[in-house]
Amino acid sequence: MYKLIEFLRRTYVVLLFVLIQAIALYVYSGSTSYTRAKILSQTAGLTGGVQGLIADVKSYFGLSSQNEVLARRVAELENELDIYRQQEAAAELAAVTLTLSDEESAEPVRQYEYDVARVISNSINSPRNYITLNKGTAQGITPNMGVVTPDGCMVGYTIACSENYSVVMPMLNVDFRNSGKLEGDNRIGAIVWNGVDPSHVTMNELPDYAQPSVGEEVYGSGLSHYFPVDMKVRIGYVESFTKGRNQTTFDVVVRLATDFSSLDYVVLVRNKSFDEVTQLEQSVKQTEKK
Amino acid sequence: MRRYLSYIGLFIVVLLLQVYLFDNISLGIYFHPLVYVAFIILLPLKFNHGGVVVLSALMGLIMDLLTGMAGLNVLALTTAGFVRPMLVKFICGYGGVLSEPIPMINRVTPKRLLLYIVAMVAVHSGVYFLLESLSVMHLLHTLLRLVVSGAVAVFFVWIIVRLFIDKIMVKL
Repeated sequence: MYKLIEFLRRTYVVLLFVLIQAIALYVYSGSTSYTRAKILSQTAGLTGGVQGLIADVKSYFGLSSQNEVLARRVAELENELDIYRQQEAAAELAAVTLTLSDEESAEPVRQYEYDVARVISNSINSPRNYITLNKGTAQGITPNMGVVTPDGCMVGYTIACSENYSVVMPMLNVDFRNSGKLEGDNRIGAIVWNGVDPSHVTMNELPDYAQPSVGEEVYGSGLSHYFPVDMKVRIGYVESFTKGRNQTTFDVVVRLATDFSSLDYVVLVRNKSFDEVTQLEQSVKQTEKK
Repeated sequence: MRRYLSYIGLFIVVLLLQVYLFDNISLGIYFHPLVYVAFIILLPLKFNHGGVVVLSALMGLIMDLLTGMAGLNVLALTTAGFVRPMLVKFICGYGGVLSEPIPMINRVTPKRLLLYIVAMVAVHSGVYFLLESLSVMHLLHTLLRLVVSGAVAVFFVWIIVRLFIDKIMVKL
């Protein structure tokens, strides 16, 4: 007994160190992007206040460029609105001669809803970066909402929310998964980040029929259900491309349209059918496995 | 009492600096200085080894909770805390401050102090970046990250250490 106590007295630091390391290693190796985002969203209540103040100061110095972006976006939306106005006028004209049934004239159900939030914490210095937003479940933000910049460039999607904060999985995270396509082409490739260069991502396995060219615009495919299929969410521009390993696909290096180092306000897109569609897809996959 | 308060203050200040300043600098993947190791570096040289490991784990845990790293900071900082007495003995042992009756960090020569800081930052940042990338494919990037971020961290840790020694320790 005395020898055991003496042994423990002499080696307790090593044992303590090994125990702490084992626990930490177990937790770290078992953690996923979701668990990390969950921790961040829960502790954002502690750090969010000061992060918000820092964001205020940063935002103040970036006001002019933000205004420019917003003004450009307003102009784009005005253009789109004008198209709808013309369509509405044409529909009214048609109504003079056509009698629509009650069902047809009923207002269509909106599948997507939009909200704006502020980035209060953001990093680009890690292979697994996250963005914290100043809105959470109390403000109607939920996981699996698409996130874009005010000028329509892809940022990522929300993965965890607390009452007043949300954590976004940005493109600059090695666990980010989405698909992209070239402008005017429906063939899709997998968008992945290599964890190193914060201004480029790769669009892998793009079928070689797509024929990319340098400078061509790359958009989100819309197949991930985070964004409307017809919404043009810009990812970036083709910088270079090489044949993939199987020689039938291209690996395309894409220069990002989003400047992740200067994010301030972002637009969130909620797909009201997201859960229904993804659950249906999951159930089909599970049935196929059986 | 003032001694304890100064170390509690140091603990809080380096945590805040890391979370609110250094983690928010968006200059790319190679620029991620981990300066909060300054607290472990500045603990008294003859501080109880078990105590250093526990304080390292505590600080790592708080960092993990604030940055969502799920154990990575505990792994890196506890390793630095565990090897600290060996590094202190190796760098400050022979003919150094450890041969004095009460070894104080403010009596360590600038050259040895810098060497001590470099060694501690290398251990801490090395474990952190290697475990964070967990990829042999990006080993070169990880090493470059370690060199660039490590050099920047050494610079800022040196400033924190000098400020603590010159402005706080002299008043204790």
